Amino acid sequence: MLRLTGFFVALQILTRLPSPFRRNAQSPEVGSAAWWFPAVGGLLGVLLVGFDALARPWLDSGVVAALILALMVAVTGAFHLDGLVDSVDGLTAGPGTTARLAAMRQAVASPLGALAACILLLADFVAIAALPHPVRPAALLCMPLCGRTAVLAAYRLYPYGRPEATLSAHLKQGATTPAAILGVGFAAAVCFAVGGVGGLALLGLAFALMHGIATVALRRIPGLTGDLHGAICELSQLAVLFAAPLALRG
Amino acid sequence: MRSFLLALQFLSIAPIPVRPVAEDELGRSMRWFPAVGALLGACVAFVDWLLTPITTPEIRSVVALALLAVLTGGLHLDGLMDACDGLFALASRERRLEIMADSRVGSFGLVGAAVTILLKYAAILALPMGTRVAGFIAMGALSRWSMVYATVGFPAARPEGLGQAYKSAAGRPELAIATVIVILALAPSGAAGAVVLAIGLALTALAGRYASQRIGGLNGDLYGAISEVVEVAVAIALPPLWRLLGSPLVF
Repeated sequence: MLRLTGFFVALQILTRLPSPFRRNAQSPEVGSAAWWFPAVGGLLGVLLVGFDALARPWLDSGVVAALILALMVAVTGAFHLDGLVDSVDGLTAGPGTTARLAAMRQAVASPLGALAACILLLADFVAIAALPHPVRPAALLCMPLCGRTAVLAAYRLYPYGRPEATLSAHLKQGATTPAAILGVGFAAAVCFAVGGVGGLALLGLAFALMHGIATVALRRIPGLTGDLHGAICELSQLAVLFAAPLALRG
Repeated sequence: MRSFLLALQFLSIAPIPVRPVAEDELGRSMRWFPAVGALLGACVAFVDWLLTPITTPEIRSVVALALLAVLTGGLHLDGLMDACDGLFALASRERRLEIMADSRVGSFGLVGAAVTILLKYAAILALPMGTRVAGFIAMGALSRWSMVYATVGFPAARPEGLGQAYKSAAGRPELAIATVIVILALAPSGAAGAVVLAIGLALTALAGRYASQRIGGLNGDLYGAISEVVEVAVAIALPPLWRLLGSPLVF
């Protein structure tokens, strides 16, 4: 799915933005949209940079930070945050793989999952509010871009954990080596263009977070699930926000 | 007076020993909702003023945020959480209503409440000194007015429930009186008050239409959710509007 249709399928999967057409999320062909994930991340970044530029002259910096957070949640439909909550619910459940995978499917949030989401949102808020003026556009562009690139790389690198043919199973199929190279290459080019070596360092940091989370998860379940990919997206985004003032300074 | 006390009893934790005798008394008490909101806002403003000499703006803002939640017994935030869980789940209309009635919380409710609380904190913190009284009163009054508009202006999702008990007896007269009260409460905000009234109207209409598409109408959870969203929107919009259109009455 090298044509632009893949981009819109990726947009449909990752966001609640209007897409010119809809694909059945259970259909195996949606998997080949995986390499477009970084492009969707880049689009989200552009959206955030635009909003930030429009809102900052009018509103207090804390309000802008909270609104950026709300915008991300609204545009993504809290897709990845939901994954983080479910991941924490699942990984802290047990004993046994089956119980953990079942706990991830529970719609009700456990106290630990709820706690994780609250801390993450508070940390995101503080990190966005603290972004110094000169690095804001580059940081807000790299944040969603690196998060979704880490998701693509994770689909390529780690086994999938469920036996059923879910959306994530299709994405795992679609995340081939050429697809991952194309997607990561695109992200690296954008990061370098807006942040130089520091931008590349942010992408590297996102991959480090991805590997850390995958390592922890794979000790407890046989492979990653869609929820874990959501957690990878959220936590690598947070790491990028924390590190951006340092990495993008030069 | 009795009607006002019924509204105060429902919208706050004030220990008021009144019981509705007739079913339609609840619905008719909605005319006083903006007045109760203004009163709650005034209470918050008073505490904010008391704390000014002894603590930082950040702490005062957190206290105001917490006070709003405590004085209302978390009523509207609870509705917001249930509404987010139900509206944003991938489910049928019936299932969405079941999810809303479920007392447990899911990811969407959790995230919705957390983001709303963060937004409210940041917005309250950004209310400039001297304008905070007008701001708190506008927040309280307009958010409760939006509940009246949502109740009168949109169909009910279910034939039973607390929301319906209000819906059945509230009509245009209640909305008209509530609108007069909210205009009075927004008067100290000046021209900006008129703009936030339009924002509250538009947000309520959008939310009402969205929920009607998804669950066929509104219920008590949605009224609470709309009130929270409007309250936050008022707090965010007022400071830039004041800069643009002139300051409010300063207390």
